[in-house]
Amino acid sequence: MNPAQLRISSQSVLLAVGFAILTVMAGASVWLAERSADDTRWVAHSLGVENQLSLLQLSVRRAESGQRGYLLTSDADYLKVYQESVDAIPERMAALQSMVDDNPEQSARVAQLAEVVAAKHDELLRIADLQRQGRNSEALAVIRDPAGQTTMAEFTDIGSEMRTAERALLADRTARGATTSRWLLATTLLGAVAIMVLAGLSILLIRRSHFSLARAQQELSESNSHLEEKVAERTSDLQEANDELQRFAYIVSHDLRSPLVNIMGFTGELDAIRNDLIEQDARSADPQRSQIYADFDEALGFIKASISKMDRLINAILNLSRAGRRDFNPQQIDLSQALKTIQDAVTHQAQEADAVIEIGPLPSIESDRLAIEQIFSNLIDNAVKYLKPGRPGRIGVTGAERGGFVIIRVADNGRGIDPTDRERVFELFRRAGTQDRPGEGIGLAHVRALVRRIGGKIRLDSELGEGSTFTVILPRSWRE
Amino acid sequence: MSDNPNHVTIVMVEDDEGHARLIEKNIRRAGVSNEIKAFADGTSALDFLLGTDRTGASRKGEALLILLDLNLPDMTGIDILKAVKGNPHLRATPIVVLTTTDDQREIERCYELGASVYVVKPVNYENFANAIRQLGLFFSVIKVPEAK
Repeated sequence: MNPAQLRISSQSVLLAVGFAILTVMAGASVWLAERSADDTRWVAHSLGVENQLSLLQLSVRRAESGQRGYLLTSDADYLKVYQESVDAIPERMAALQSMVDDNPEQSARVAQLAEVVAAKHDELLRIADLQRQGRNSEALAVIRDPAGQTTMAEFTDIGSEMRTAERALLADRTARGATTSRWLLATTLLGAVAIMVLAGLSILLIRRSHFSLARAQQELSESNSHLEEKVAERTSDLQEANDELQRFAYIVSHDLRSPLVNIMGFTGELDAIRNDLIEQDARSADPQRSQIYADFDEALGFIKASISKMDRLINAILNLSRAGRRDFNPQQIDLSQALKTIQDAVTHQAQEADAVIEIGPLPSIESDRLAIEQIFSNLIDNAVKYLKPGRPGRIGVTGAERGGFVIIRVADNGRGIDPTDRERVFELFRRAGTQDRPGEGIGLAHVRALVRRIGGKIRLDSELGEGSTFTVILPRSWRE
Repeated sequence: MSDNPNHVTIVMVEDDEGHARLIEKNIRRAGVSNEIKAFADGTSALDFLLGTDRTGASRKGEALLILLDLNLPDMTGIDILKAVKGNPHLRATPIVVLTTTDDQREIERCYELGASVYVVKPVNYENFANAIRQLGLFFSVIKVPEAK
């Protein structure tokens, strides 16, 4: 893994961890808040139990004191107090019982209490009965009975036991509530700290990645400028090599001409000497002599033809090297018009060869006029020159524009070029097919050199016996 | 008698022996019988034309015609062209540049420097003979004024 990927993945890990912490914190907070509410409910419950117990105690006490007050004063008010309180006892007892249902210890205590209360209730009812029957002394006897006191003491004991237990529970529950609150606070704080640490880490990572990005950018621009330098260097090297080659071609072809002038010149002298000899020998009709002269003529003929050929080749190299050194003059050229001019120039040859040249709509281009004219006039000349005998020639020039390039196709239905010769025909002094037309094998080499020099490419598609298509791709606008 | 073309001395500066011989043969064949002085390098040609002191005083008043090859072993024909055209005594001497180069720029340069005729040595014998014959004709009719 490279450093950049590492940074990106560590950043996503940080983000994920941050989210996880937030989620855990939120969950913990919700859970702790719920627990806190629960604790509060339980605290309230404990207080409620105590309260209910006090109410029960109050009812029993009031019933007892009301009964006694009535016994002492026969005041109906006391009887009313008694009646209300004694009626409330079972209800309050039941409420208390239901409240401590959850706690078996307290339930047991409440059951005990219920028995005590029931006993007390019975006693109260008995006293009230006796009183109603006017047996007050008997009622007083019941009151004086220490059993009643014992019942009450028992009641108080169980009540305080219950209260103590409930107090303990209350303390416990309050403590638990406080703990929960502390946890809640701690969780929140911890989460906040974790988030801050993560944020800090993120900032650190982002800063670091920002720095490395800036550095990478700087390195890139440095290497870019370095690259440009290198390209410029290579280009000038290539330019130099090319110039060297041009000079070489020029010097070689130039210096080759010098001895050729001598060879040709003295061949001419030999010819003159021979003529002189023939004149002197005119009278002798020796057949052997005339054979010698014929051989002499043949030899001279080959020498002259070879010299002429060599001279043409040297001139071709000279012209190529000159074309290579020529400065171009880019201008806007209407290709339709330029091709029309070329077509007019070969009208005569085309008619002789029974060929029709069709020029489709062509785009315009910014280039060197002379180069363009040489390229297409060579291609069209070739198309006219190498038609298939016995078949009317059809030569078509079509054009298209694609991107920043102009594509021109010169297609013919001529003799075609064998696939193995497709590259060869572009080479200097190389020709393809039947050698029945005059030529040095220079045209296409020249065309390719020119096309390359004006920044283009040339391609050949051909089928032997079917025809050839030369595709020239040139930049739409001039580029140095 | 400088008005007589036969008194014009032809100075041929040509390093290639064969070329020199061909030029001479064809000049003669064209019927030109003037004296031909041949030099195979620039220095000896300049010694003759301008003298060892390079003032040109020694050739003052002589009728000369220079046939000049541009490719010489020790200097270029252009140097000789400049030296002759820059000399007050020889300035008016006609110079025929005879070379294998048909480079347009070089031809223009020679004319600018004062060459009278520029002849490209052709390989084709017929053409070459014609060119030389025309030169011969040119020699026989040309009137070389005496440098004052």
